[in-house]
Amino acid sequence: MYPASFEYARPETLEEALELLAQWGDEAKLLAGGASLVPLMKLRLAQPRYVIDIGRLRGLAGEARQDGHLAIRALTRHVEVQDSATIRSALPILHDITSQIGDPQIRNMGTLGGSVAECDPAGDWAPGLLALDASVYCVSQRGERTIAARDLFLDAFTTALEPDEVLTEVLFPLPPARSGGAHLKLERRAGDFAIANCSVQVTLDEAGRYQQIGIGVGGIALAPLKVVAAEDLLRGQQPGEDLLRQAAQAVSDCTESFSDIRGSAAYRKHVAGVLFRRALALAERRARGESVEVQHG
Amino acid sequence: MASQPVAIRINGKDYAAEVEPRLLLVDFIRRVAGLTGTHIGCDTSNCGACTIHLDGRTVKSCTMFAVQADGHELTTIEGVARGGTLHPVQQAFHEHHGLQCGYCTPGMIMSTLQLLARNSAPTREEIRRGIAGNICRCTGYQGIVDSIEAAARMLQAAPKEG
Amino acid sequence: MRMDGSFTVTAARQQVYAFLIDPERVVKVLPDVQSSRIESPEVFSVATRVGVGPMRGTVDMRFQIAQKEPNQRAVYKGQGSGMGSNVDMETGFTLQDAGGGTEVQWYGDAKIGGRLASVAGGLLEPLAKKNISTFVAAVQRGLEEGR
Repeated sequence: MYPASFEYARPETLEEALELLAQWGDEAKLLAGGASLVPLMKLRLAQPRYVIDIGRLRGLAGEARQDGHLAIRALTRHVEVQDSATIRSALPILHDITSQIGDPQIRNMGTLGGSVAECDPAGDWAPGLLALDASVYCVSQRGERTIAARDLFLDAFTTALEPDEVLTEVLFPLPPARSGGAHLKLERRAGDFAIANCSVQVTLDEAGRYQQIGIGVGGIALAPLKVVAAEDLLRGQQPGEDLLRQAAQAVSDCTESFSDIRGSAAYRKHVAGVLFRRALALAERRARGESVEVQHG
Repeated sequence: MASQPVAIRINGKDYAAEVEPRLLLVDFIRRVAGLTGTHIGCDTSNCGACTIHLDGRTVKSCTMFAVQADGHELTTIEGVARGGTLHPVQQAFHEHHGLQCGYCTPGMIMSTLQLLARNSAPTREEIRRGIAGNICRCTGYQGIVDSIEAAARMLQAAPKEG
Repeated sequence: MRMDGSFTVTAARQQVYAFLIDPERVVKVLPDVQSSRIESPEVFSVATRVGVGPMRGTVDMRFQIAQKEPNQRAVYKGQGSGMGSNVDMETGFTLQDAGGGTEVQWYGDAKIGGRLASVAGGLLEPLAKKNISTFVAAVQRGLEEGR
């Protein structure tokens, strides 16, 4: 299988890449790791006229702490996040996410920025960004701006990024004490996209109430969703079976679920609620200081 | 379509060619470099038969353009044995029935090498997760997992081989 | 995959019917049409741009008016292919007087097979629904403006 012909450019600098994007606009696609774009091109479902390979731009990979945030740059590979001890201790949920993406080869190729900008409805990064209230930093020749995760994921494979913008960094707020998060995914077979996935990040107050909570789900709607209804139910409350059942119902209800080979709509709705409860339980244990492993690939 | 100069070092040897940007890395390896040990299985990024090491990390070479690997170093299955002696991982696959038809084997071995470099004594569960990106349609994986366990023991007994 | 709904327009039933069975006018309101050809008063084909994110292409559709009941009902059947996939669809409109205007009850049924179906999987259903909604909205708009 071969993609349609395209023109290839490998800019040396981000500025050069932005210039090409401004020039070619909608007819160009950015190639980062290629883990998703290359298969789509081989199937000829994507046939960009121009491919701008930013995969080796210097300065667009790696992590840094800044102003209460953990900034992970766009070209950081999934495996680099998975392997980073500093990321794992600050935000164990990101280790959960990156351990569950695809398979080892995909994690070696795929990048954070590529995955977030692609916005696959069943991708693993987006629920994490939504649960953590992360934001993305993007630049174009017109300037730069920050987009909150909740304003970023608009529709299937569609984000708020303009065709001339490059996502350069994801900013994760560093959580206060007594915080924990977890990401869980149910897949049909190894390496597949999720039937459903769920990220939960929680901060407990001294009395054990949910002081702050973020919930993101994927695989169950055209776009990844932040489940504000469940967050509002739980915030400020003491954990309890009735409350949790209501919150899980809110997670199930927020879905505009559909049936496909990976599962029926009803099954997906159910699974989203179950994953939410399990992820919340893990997040709470981590918030209490327990070190918990999530079973993942 | 303008062709693009590409220079890639494979198993310590340099290969250069002018290629179309859409040339897949696996075809550069097989046709330009003539190294046909790297197989094309599903051609859709699922099966892992085309797995190679790019700068020391496994990638599926059917899902990369050769231009992306320009200036990088690759290791393919041909670069695993040393001086006509099988690498312990290859030896273990040979001894423990880690293959039947052999089609997935080059990719399976490349993934095993990375798995054991990251985790020198994996459990059977960890082995299965480590080769999650490689599909075998003959063995049912038992022989492969046995082989990888054996390879881990052999490499630990002779750590310099790794 | 099937969906249905209804909308009301201020146009009279005869006007709505005349619009619905006139390929010339229907083609004009279809979204993202690149080229079109009217083959006969009942058959037309269009090349439509479709796309989700990086997946983009053209689908060639051929429609024919499969059923006509003057001032009451019109049914379109369409077949097409593109992006390594094939589409079969049927859309029907049933008209009723409503106040001074017309209530249009519609349904849409689409089957998609091939490469898109295998890659997009569950996305197809919501996407097809969205396309049908866009189509129906376009017809509604055409009726409002065409008065």
